[in-house]
Amino acid sequence: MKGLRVRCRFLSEFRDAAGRSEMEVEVGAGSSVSDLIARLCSELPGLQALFERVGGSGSPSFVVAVDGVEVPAHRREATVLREGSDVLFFFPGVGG
Amino acid sequence: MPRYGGYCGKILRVDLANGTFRVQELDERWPKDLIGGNGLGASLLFAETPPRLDPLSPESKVYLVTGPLNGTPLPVGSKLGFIFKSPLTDGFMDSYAGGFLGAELKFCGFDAVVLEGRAPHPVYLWIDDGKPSLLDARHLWGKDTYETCRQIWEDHGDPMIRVAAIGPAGENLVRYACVMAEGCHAAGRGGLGAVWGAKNLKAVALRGVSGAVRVADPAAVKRLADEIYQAIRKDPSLWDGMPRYGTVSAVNSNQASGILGTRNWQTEVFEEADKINGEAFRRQVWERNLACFACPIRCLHFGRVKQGEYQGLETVGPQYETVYALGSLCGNGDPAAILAAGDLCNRLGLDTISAGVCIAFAMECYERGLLTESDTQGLELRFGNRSAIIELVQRIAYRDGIGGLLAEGVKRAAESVGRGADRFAIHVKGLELAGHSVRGYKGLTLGYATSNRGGSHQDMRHLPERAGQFDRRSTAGKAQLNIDITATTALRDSYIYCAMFEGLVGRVGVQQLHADLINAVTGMALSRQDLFTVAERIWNLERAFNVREGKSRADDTLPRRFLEEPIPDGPSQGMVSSEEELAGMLEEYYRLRGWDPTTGIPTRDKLDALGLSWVADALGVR
Repeated sequence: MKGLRVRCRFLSEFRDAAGRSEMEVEVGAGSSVSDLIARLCSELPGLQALFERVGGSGSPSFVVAVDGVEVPAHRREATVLREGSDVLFFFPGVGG
Repeated sequence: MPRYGGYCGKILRVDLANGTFRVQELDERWPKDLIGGNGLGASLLFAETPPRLDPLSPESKVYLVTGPLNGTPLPVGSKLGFIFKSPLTDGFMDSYAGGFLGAELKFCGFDAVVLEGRAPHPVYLWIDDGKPSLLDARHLWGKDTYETCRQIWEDHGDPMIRVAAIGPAGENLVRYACVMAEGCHAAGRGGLGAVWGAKNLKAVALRGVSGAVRVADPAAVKRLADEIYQAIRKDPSLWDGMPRYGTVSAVNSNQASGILGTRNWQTEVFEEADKINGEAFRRQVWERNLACFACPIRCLHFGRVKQGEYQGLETVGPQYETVYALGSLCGNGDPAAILAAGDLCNRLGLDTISAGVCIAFAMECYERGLLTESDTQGLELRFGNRSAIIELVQRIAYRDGIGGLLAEGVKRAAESVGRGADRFAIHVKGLELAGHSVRGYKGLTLGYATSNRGGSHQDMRHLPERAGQFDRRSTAGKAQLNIDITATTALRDSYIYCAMFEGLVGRVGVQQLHADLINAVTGMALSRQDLFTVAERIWNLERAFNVREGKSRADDTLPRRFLEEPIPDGPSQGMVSSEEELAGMLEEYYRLRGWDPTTGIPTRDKLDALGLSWVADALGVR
């Protein structure tokens, strides 16, 4: 099955860990956000610690936004990417 | 010796009018019922001040409050709370300054200080290792907050004295004047500086050497401190992100989601966001990190402007809220100008959030013709005019011309301008809104409307929605989310720990760590349910205070811009906080709180269940 290309963008700590602010990634058709995260961990091991960070209540605390819409942690496995998806990674910040 | 660990067992009462002091024993019921900090202050404020009191009158009181965690080895327990009736909102206000004050007051041997009356001339309160005195501050009056701090250090020959001071803005009773600790930690919101100014109180200076904070279970506290430290150490956003980018990292993320307040919230995408993000400050200004008492996070930045118009400026900051309020909100994409305006606010003792919102309001009025050059004494108040921002900060602090109008806060300023200007006044209950989108988070839509402080982002927090734990675009479950989050913020402000630590403890609902922390320090055996009850008690006390001041459901609303104007562009285009949507969430919220659904007033049953029958009696609720 033909793969699809998505654009990954990284902010702040994610950019520092990835060593770049964006990259294009080819994933298999039907890949989910979770699949993409796993793929990024293998290609850019520096990102793994950021993806594995959990919040105080035990859930992942980074933000993934696909085409401008945040994907809650519990929907990342079910959210399927499409050709040309823009996927943004960042931490939500603390304090205020 | 106090019954519970973490407490000194003493409250210092200061009569500024007569220059006398009284030490009150801490009531043994208060730790279990109220914890300290926010809880203690809210209870005392309700009990000891009459309704409809002028906050700037001698009869007003200010409560400086610590919590049991302050002064212990636990990291992130640095803050001191200030509880008072706000001259900006005429309602309940609590404000917390970081640095070293909280610990130092405990080392002085006091859990709290109550400031009462008005001094006959400018004074400052000096607590020298437990011994209080009121010293002449006439030589300090007129000085900015940095100068005041340095002068007090020089007068006493001790640079380790912890100083909280007002600047000229407080002396001139600007309604959002603040108190600054060592010139860089703000008790920012709600006009505390004006209350001190009205009392002729220039500063509070603390030096505690002999005191130590006893904890009930030292081994457990040490274990928790180690676990917390390790958790911070392993968290890349705290250990690496905060020192590198500070809270200013929110500029990037808010811009990416299209929820960055821009030009008085006319839109929520700022075309110059990449010029004022954390990377820009890190590249151009910041030189090293600073930390508060016992804190390993090091979120503060010392910076120096190396070139251009503000070359040579040295300051601490900014935080995200300042970058929002004096940056994107005013259409200002110049980091050096933001730094300069923020530094000036710190020196003059002005809340940067309120100042920025007032300036942005004036800019929009000017661009729409509601204010003219005659009104502004020749200042061209267009969005992006950075020199006008800095000039206005100065004029606000000294109530000079248009500054006098804006010194009253955006709500009163809009009332004075009239002709529909209220549409551009971004406040809730009189408190200017912080830099987190009303329209962009349905939870915060409700949170801002129901915050006891008003337009505060520190009651209901946006971060669980921000982190994607909850869908920010949906109203479902947001009433319960409000209750769960405000439970943790009430405890946060009572223990007292810093907001930087919230994520590790847990922001949504009382967690086991909340219980472990308080019980290890104090020796109490409070369950999570007990702590939820304490949090509910505190929240209802604050609400009851506001009800007694005449506030009700009618005040649980939002600026018309957010109710009627969808976000016009960007990734969050189309989001709006409609009246219908807000009404629906309010209905569910009041029901879950146990409040009267029509009035939003806590019922007698609710107050009785929380041990607040005396409050119900005072309100006359049935």
